[in-house]
Amino acid sequence: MTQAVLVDTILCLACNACSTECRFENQPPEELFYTRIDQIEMGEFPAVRAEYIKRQCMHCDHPACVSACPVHALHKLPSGPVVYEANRCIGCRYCMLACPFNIPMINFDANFPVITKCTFCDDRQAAGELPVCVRTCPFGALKMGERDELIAEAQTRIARSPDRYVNHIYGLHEAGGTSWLYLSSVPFTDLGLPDLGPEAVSALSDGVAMYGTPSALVTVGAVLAGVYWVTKRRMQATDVSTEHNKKESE
Amino acid sequence: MSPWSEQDLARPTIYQALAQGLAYPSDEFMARAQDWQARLVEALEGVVLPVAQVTEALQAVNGDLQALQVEHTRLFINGVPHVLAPPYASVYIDGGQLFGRPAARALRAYQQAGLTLSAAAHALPDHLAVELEFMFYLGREGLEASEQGDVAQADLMRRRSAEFLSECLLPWAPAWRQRVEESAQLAFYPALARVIETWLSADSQFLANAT
Amino acid sequence: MSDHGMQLSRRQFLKLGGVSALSALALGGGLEYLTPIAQASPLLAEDGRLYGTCGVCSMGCAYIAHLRDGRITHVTGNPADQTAEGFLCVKGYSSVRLLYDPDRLKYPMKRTNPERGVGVDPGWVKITWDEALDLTAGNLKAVRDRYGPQAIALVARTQTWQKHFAQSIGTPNQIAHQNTCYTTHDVVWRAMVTGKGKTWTVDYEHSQYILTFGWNGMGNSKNHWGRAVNQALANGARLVVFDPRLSITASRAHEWIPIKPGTDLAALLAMIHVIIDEDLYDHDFVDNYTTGLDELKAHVQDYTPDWAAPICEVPAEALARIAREFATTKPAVIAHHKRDAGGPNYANSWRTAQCFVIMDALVGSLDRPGGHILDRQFKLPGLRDVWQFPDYSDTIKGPRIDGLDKYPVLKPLGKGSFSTLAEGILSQSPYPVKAAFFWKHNILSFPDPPRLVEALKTLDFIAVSDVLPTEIVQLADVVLPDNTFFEGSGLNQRQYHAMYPQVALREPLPPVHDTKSFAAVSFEILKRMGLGEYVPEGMGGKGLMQAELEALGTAADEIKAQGGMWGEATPLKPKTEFGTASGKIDLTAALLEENGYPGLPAWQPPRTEPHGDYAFHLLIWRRPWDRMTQTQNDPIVSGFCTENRALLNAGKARELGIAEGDEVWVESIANRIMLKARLTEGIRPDCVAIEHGFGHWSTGLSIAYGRGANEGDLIPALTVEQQLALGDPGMSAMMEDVMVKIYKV
Repeated sequence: MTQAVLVDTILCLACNACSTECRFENQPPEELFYTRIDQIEMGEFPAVRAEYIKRQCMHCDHPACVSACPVHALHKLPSGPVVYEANRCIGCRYCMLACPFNIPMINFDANFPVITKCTFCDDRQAAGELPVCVRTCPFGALKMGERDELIAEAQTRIARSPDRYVNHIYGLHEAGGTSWLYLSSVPFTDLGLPDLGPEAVSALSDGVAMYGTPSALVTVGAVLAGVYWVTKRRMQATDVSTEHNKKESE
Repeated sequence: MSPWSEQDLARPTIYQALAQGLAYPSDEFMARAQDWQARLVEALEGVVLPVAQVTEALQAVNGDLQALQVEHTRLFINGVPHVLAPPYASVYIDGGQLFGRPAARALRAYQQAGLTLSAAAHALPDHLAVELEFMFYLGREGLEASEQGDVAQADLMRRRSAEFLSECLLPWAPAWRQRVEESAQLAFYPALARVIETWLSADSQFLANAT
Repeated sequence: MSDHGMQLSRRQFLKLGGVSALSALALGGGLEYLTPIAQASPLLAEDGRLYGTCGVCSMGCAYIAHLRDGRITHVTGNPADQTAEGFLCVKGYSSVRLLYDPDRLKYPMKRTNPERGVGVDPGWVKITWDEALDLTAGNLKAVRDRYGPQAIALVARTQTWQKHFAQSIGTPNQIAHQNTCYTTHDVVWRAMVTGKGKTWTVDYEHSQYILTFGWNGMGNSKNHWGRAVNQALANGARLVVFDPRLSITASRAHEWIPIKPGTDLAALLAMIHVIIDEDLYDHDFVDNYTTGLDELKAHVQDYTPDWAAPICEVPAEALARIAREFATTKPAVIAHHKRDAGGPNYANSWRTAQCFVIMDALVGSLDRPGGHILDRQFKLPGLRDVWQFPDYSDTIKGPRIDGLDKYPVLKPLGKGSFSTLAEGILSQSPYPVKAAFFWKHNILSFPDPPRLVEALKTLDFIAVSDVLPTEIVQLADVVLPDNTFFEGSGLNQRQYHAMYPQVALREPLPPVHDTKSFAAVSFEILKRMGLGEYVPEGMGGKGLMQAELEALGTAADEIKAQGGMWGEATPLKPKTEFGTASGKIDLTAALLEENGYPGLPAWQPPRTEPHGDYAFHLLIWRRPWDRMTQTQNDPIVSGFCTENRALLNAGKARELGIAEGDEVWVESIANRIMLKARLTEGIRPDCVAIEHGFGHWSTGLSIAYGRGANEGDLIPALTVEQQLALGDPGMSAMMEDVMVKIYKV
């Protein structure tokens, strides 16, 4: 069975230990981050809430990027991680179009730009260690284990505190199932996760259409350095305050 | 393998002189400045380098030790604005912090040669002066081995020199030299930096042809 | 002798004059930096691990540093530490980048440019330690001889070696930051519960009702407590947060109540009224372990929820309901730490802090599971237990430049004031201060830093021991580079969250640069000032640690073998006696009465109210990854937030025609600063919130320099007279009791 991680967003305190340590220890190129924390504010004063969600590659069981890649530079390991071989990459960016979560990044500054992304610390896992983010999180928001054990754990948490969780485990079935699973106290689309059915996102055209539009005012916090919403825009660090997604209404 | 040439003889002298030029300016250095620059010029003869600028720049300093010390401090230690041209490989190669992987690489090279950093020096392994001193050491060891007829050892020293040069010095010397040029107020350190950069490049060529 | 004449062959010249002759310029076989391994003392740490304790905050979480090739690759928490439990916080993890920051102070330096000021290049030159110490000692001695020891101010944390340094010199002026931090809490805990100061341990994990006024422990990434509150919430606990801003803690709460700033006191008085009036308090605890309930009851008679509601702008029914919930859900606790509503943010904060203690007492949450716990610590030897040296001079008991000697309840706690230093120096009252030694404190943490800069310019001499070239370093005459906590050694006693006594071992990393600890530096300076009798043979960290180990009955090797921690986990044995005259928790705070302050917390408004254009309350907050200067020059976290903003209510901003990103002036009676606006729904319309940690003008900080602005500039500095007039035993610096104007640039 694959290794997976349960992200319990109600335990996240947006401290960014995960994203800073990942960047420090894994050293992605330039100013990219393999994982980030989005801060999302909802409502109107004084009925306001804020939620936090860690975003990174979902390590799908049926990865769209893998099926889109013409040179087989990406593949899913039996143990869980979706890894890539940079020296096979030809920089075509089909994976970026295919991924419903907008994860693969490209470092434009390199002479020959190639894809990069979170690899679930597959090398560390192979050595019997935890991924950096999981090891680092001080507040218990990330739990690693066998996928079906984590699903059971998630169901237990929902059952124990039904008023605190939306009754759904995101990633259980979405896109054919992912290794990174989420719990939330608000609809997942409010957190920026796309509304996906259980089919694997394998067709290129499907992938392009899959952008979630959160219904609330989204303030994308922390570092956006590795993340972009339109394929051609260069990724760079931006301020916490300047990124907004469009509101559905108004 | 080509016979030991004058450049082989000159190399240790040059490296040591360059390392000395980078050290924090002392009374002793100023007193012997003429000697130092004459030796450097002489050793570099035949290797086309802008070393004359070093001579001119040193003359312009005109014995003002404090001015040189202020300049050294602001460029290489702590300055306004911030330390301007930190002479550490890690800053240019490995994400801007000190004691990154380049420092570890340099340290392993020293340890492989039976050396480590001396406590009194308070220097990091990838400090430019330390790396230059290591090149001096390897060159000197190679020379002594060759004089004693130990060809294998001499070759090894040459190979280690080439490796260290290409892994630990060449990748960042140009970037450092550029920072020095951008930030210097006196002419001495930019001139020295240019000599260092061109010498490293020339020496790399020489070692490639020689082995 | 070779055939030389005028024309030596080049080959011969190089052989003769090259290697060996140049060696005359060099020392030790031609090598200046490198040495054969066999001859070297271990300079670089071996691969493996080092135990240590994080120095970013006083939580002091124990860590394990992972070493390879002489460098620390990363740090992880020590699982055996009751606080860290195997984790650190983002700030602790980030400290490795402080250790290897290229901007770090590396060697002692002195200035060559006599002009001192903001933006002025000091013209530093590197000097030897000998010269640096001689210069410092010589100058301090000159000031001491001419003006007296009180003319020297030590601006440093009030820790062992720092206190010893100041007292050996004979100055009463040990200036420290605590009145911007927690002195209002300290005095009420002293008076009502402990007889000493505030306790730091809170058993959140077992709480079922966590009520807070301005506490943002979860948003400040507090290592143990964030986990513990998460655990409590998972166990069904309720979290209720009163805060003018939707902090991270407030966002995790069941209820966020945007109370009017500075009026938490009114809300609390009403809650106390309800709990006593409706007989909801814990009779067992109150009857057996407290005194003064009758007086308290009479005192709060008129403080009803209806009275409080218009003051704090919270509906009366909510105040009453929450009071009832707090009293009847067991166990309940008022979450508080430092810069919350009971911390020195307002003129009335000390009374708010008192109400915190009263609330905890009424529900039996003082030294009981789920409540505030009295720190359990080992009794460790002090300096005089280990060494003999003369009594300190009586001059240390004289009047202080910051006026703290006029605060009888606060003074014995050995803390300090930042709010009054500038005016004290400038007024030369009660005497001139002519020299300062700064350690681990920076100008930007003071109220009104520009005023302090004016004051510091009048000094004859300033020495600074620090890690990074902060603003105070730019004003120094002599710079003494300090170790980071990675490079220090000793034993660290559990301070925050000490459910049972525990110490942690600190194994030093060999210093990265030519740095020296404060202790080592201070000993040398004392000796060179002619005060060597205060530095007996063997005095130092090693000796102290040895004595501590003996007192504990163990050795460093043993502690290391056990995983770096010493102390057995024992279950909580609730105390039945407390540190007051009566041995009971004193609800009437008689100690305050005895010293001329009211013992019971009457309503008092904050110092400032909206008036004219000064329509916005200033709120100050921090990002989870920020702590003082230690993280502000960090290359990674600085990318999250390149500058701070003026955080405004979106509706209010629209009203004023201010859009996201517009530049605005934020102006107080002290100064004004310029920031871009950021709009949010999560703040009251009459408030502006600004993150701390920006506005660095020291160009020595290559990353932090020039980003954003310092909200501290908005906080007025005070004269001692102004401070005293407030009648506040905790000497609050009133960090947020400030109204500001906001207008577009």
